[in-house]
Amino acid sequence: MTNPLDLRGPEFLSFYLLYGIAVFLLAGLARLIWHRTSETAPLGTRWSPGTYPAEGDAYTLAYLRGGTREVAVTVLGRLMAEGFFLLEGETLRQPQSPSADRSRLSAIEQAALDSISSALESHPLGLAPPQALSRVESALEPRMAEARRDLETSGLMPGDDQRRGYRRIGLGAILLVTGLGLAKLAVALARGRSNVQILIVLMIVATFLGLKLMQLPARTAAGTRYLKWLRESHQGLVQMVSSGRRPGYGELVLVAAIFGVEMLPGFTTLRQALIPPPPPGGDGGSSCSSSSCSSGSGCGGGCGGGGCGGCGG
Amino acid sequence: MAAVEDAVADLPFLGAGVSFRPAWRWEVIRHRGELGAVECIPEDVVGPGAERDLTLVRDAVPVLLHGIGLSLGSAEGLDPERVRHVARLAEAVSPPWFSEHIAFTRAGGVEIGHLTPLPFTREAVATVARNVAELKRALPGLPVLLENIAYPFILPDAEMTEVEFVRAVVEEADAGLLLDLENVHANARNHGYDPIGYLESLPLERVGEVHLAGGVVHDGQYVDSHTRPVPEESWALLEWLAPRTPVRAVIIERDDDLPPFEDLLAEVARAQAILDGSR
Repeated sequence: MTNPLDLRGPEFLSFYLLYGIAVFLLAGLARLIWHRTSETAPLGTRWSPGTYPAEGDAYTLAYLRGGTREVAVTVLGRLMAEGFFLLEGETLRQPQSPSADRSRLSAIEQAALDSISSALESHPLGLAPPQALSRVESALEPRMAEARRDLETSGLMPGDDQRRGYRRIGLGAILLVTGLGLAKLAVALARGRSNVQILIVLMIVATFLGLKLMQLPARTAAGTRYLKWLRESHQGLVQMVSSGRRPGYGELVLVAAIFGVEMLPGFTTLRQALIPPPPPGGDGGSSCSSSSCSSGSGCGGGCGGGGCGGCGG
Repeated sequence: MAAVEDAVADLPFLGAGVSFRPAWRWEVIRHRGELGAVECIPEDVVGPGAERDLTLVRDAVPVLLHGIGLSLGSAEGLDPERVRHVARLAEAVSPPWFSEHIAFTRAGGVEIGHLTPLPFTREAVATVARNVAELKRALPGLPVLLENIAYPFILPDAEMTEVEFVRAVVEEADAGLLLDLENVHANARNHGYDPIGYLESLPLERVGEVHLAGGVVHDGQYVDSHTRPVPEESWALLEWLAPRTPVRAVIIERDDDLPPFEDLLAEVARAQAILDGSR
């Protein structure tokens, strides 16, 4: 059998391409199997199908669905529903004579309210919705650590063990493909070859794909199942809300957390105002600048391409 | 005999709840902490979607299955398809017991469309007992409770009174008793007897569940229409009954003129308080 490092350029590139495809297919399969089998979620816990969450759990559910950004969108929806803010055109501002009762707000809601209220002091004409969202996300990010821990412990978001598994799979693929490319590069350069550009491009692509494989999914398979169960089991609530019955604020937050704020009557365009779609022809990745995307906390698998937006129900 | 009495006493205590209506699906889930159970009519659960919905409700609140169409009094026997449907639902929602009426809804293969009283005869007792035995074979391990119904008239050739008939049926069928106190109230009022005396004649040790509802007067007859709040007469019967039976659940029935759910919850809370006071 011929040593692949001794293959001539075009033959090696053909081999390398097939080899890379095979390795990444296997690595993808390994990632899928790991995703489905590495669960540690104990059944019958507070966060498992069959156990209805309390209204106070809503922001943790929003975090499970879409990270801190979804929590921020949900909180803003709740604050606007009670009249703490108004969305007028493309500006978020406080009403002339606010009548909402601050004492009813939870700690998370108060933190979000404070973050916008302080910004509005220096912007009396109001804030652009994306700016308001960014502020709320920054204010809430530290507060979501406990929710993340809770969800990891329950096996709904990947924990340390699972994180290591994804990294090993991605790293293994990089070592096998990029490593072989590097070896061939060294051999080629030692033999005085200089036409290695295509090989370098392939190695860069392989490294990029390997890094993608190392990315954490937003949720474990158990987390995805739980979200599916939540959507099924809360259909009655959505039907009730959409049939015109005014929900309590706790129910309102549950709907927004599980299905997305756009499911609430009167809030169908809020998400678009907070997270404007990228301009036509844009790369679609520019909205992913917030802290919710920085630590693998919610924008990985499950949201599809196109940045952090669009994770909603 | 003692086996059934022990079995009723060993059933899980659920407390007070309501009959389930799809319009109340979220209300039931939302107020799960205030409801001991919801009772569902298997004949209303048609299709996999409805079955799935019911299991989602069961995740929040224990679900009881209460048949209205098995026609336990039919001499021709049970409809196997209906029995299979009940068995499938029972497997899906794991109710602690199943209940049906002491009545017939089908005769000669023709659906009558409503619960019809049986003649108070030995033959009818034997028919119900035979059908209950068949039902038990289809629902292995699931206790069966039989419910007294309202009867606007007494069929001719009665060999016993209604209370004797109900007692004979549950004893011969070796079943528990679902006592509909509104039916007792309606029958006592329409036929002019003392409801407490009626209750005293029943095998109270077999009472596993109680139904409460509210009715209307129509053409001089009190009809248990399930459209009104529970009348004080029925509440008084529950207060008398609760300390004298091992009752495990009380269901407030409402079929039409559905009130705000909070109104039903108030009735559930009242029933629960009576149960708590009697335990």
